Amino acid sequence: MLDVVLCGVRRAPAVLAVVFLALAMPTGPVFAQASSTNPDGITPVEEFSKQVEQLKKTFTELGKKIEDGAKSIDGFTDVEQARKEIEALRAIVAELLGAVSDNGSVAQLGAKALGHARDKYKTLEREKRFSREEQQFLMSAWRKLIEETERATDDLGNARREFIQLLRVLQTREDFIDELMQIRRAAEAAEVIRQLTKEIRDASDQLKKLINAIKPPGV
Amino acid sequence: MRAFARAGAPLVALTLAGCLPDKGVGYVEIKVFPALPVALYLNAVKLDALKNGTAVLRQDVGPAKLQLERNGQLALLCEFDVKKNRVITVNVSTIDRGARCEVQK
Repeated sequence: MLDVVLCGVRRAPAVLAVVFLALAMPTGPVFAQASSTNPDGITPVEEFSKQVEQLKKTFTELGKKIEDGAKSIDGFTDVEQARKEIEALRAIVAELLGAVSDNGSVAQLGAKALGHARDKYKTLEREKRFSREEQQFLMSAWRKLIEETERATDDLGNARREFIQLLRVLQTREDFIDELMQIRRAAEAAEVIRQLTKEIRDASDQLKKLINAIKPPGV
Repeated sequence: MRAFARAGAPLVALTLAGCLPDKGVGYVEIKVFPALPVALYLNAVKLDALKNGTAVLRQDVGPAKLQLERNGQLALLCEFDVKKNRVITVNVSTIDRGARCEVQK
């Protein structure tokens, strides 16, 4: 409780700034008007594509951290230090998993993008304004986008499985190391850590392949 | 003043929320086989259709419960603890028209 109070006191200038901004901001109807008149409204498919592209960059950066983590664990002779590194690795993998979880923003955006592309395709099927060739051209373009979006969501599903597996390996090994330390078997714990390093390296290679395989829709 | 309350209050709340201790998040992997004809709920949140009978959900750390909707009411399937940066797997199977839940840590 005291922490919260102290934090509130420390953050008072920030809170005041937010209050000032809130007062200076226009209210709801003005925002609604501004967004509805924007002719360049990004479609859900484009937005999803951007998010997937961004995710790939994050995956690559975090994949590098996993590799570095495996290297440092390998060099540790102190089991407690290695255990801390495993905990840090778990945090990295959990972050990766958070990005692709089913209730995460990217997955929800993917579902929205797919729904939008399918609706668009159905609407075009019933469209009478265009010539047959034009209609076929537009439908074929949307069909391609649907396929690419489905592929991208599948890729994210595969990533989700890989991250879950890696997270499970890390937590199970960490629990086993803890158990070994409780019965003071440091040598066995060190051996488990060495094996774990190899498993993390293998997983890291798999992640690299997976990241390269992910293709955002419309690219 | 009313405009202030409408626009400012949520923002102030969000700012102050940054002060609350961060308990973190963990993950719940839900596997359902065979498919259930009723909706599942993680705490009070209804789960959308599970792709290939599996869902991986980000969840706040702490006690959680998996429930199913039966005759318009929620029936408890199982309870478990979600831990920070850890995954917990919940297997749901159907036996004799009833659902069974197994928690794998």
